[in-house]
Amino acid sequence: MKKVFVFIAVSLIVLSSTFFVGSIVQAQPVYAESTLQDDLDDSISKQLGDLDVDELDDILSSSGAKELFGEKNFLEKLSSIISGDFADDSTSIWQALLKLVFDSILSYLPIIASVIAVSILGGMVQSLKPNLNGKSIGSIIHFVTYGVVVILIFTIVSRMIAVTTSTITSIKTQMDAVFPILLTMLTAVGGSVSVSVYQPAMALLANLIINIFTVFLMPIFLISTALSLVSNLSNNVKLDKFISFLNSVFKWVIGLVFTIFIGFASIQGIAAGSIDGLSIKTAKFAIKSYVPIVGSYISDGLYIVLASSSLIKNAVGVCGLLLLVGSVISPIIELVMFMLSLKLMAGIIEPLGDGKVASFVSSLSKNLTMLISMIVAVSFMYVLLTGLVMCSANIL
Amino acid sequence: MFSSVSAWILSIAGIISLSVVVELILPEGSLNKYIRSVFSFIVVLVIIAPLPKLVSGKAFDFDNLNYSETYEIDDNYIYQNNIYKTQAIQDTIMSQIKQSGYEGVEVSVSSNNFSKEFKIKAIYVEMKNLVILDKAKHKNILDIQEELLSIILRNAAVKEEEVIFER
Repeated sequence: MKKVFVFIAVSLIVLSSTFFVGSIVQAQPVYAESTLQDDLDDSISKQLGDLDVDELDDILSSSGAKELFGEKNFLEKLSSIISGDFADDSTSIWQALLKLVFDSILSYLPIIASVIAVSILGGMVQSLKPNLNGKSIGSIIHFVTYGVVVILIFTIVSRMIAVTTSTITSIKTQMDAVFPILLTMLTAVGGSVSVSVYQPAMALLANLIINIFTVFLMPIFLISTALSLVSNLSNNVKLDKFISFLNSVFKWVIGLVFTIFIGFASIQGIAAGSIDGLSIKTAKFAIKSYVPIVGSYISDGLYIVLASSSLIKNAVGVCGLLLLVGSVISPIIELVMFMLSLKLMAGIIEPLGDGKVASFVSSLSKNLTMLISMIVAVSFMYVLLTGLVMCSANIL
Repeated sequence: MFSSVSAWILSIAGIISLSVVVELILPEGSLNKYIRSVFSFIVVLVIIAPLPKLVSGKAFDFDNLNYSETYEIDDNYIYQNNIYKTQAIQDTIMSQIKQSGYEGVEVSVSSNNFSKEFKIKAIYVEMKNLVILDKAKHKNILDIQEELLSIILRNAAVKEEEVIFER
């Protein structure tokens, strides 16, 4: 799991640096004349009018990304990103995030407190019990304590499972809405080779890989949680090694899917992007004169059409990522907070109460990293694919 | 596939719970040890029971994993965009012809607007109403045609024979 996260971090850095370079190159002032700016604005608004974003508007109105979008609908946000103001209310975003963190801590607090209280009580009763026939009564006490703790914790765990599933489903709906637009824009810019690479990659991600996550990895999480529950029920039968087998199956599957997909998509995408860049450049040279004529740039209408398509493509990518962040950030924060509070619980219970309850709670917190890594992996693959599309076939 | 997996997991969990309950109920005694080992045996059996099926490869059927869907490109948008491109090229050529001192020349660019790859098929130049603004120049019509052709070739990726003049 750690390796996956390190990999994610490194690739994020690399990717963000490419974005940065790309944005610098794009920001070069080709548009010195104000009339050219007007032409570009005209062309952008004309093309935005043709764009079909109803599906994205529906998603936006039903998702939790409102803070990131303000009160804008999708088209307004698109045009504000194209005109260059990205985050007009970044302080409110941070406030919303902090509020989310404290809200989730507060919502877990009663359960944390009651689990700790129950297990401390159980430990006290265990030590106060009458000495005759002690073993049987002791195990009954353990049974009862354990049962209460499990019921209390599983009220939240079941909610977390539902949250994870619905998050992955909503990422899938977002992909279904954003990917066709990105492909269309890529075609409009002239990146036909890139389209032939990204079209199957997107279908693979949104169908096969998400299916693997929901149909294969999610059950592994459920199985390993159920087994860690029964494994700590008695001293006789221990299933720790079996659980660790399941955990390593999960890690390997997620790592392999992730690495293979990212590797193929990025290498093919970069190659295709360079081919497309070359063909766009040659087309530009074929279209535009070598000899600079006065006013050649201003009247170069085709260039404006292509440039505005490319701007819209990148803005759609940015908006899609904002939508993704908005819908993913709250489940991730909830899951992380829950995992941390489980670890805290285990730490408090261990010296005072029952060792087996503590080991159950800590193994559950280990299992919860599976849910987090599922959401992170899916959204990261989405981010990377969108980023690649944004980087490819840009007109420089 | 997953009904069998969940049955497997349920049986593991059930057998362990049963062993715990039996352990609670049974009194202390020498028999206790044997019962425990019997239960451990049963747990091992339950865990390894479905493994032969796994090896034979029948446990996994990925038929319900649907990955044949693809994303469709919005053809209407591409069509509209191609029209913009055609219009832009046409406007550029017209304005440059005007700058060179000719008026009344109608240029119409014909391209494959329904295709995903934009390509100019032909350019029609209508010179019936040609007006030469610069009166000092008295040129042969063929020279003018040559000049217009060079302007068009500078601005659009077409071959020479694809530019059609109508006089």
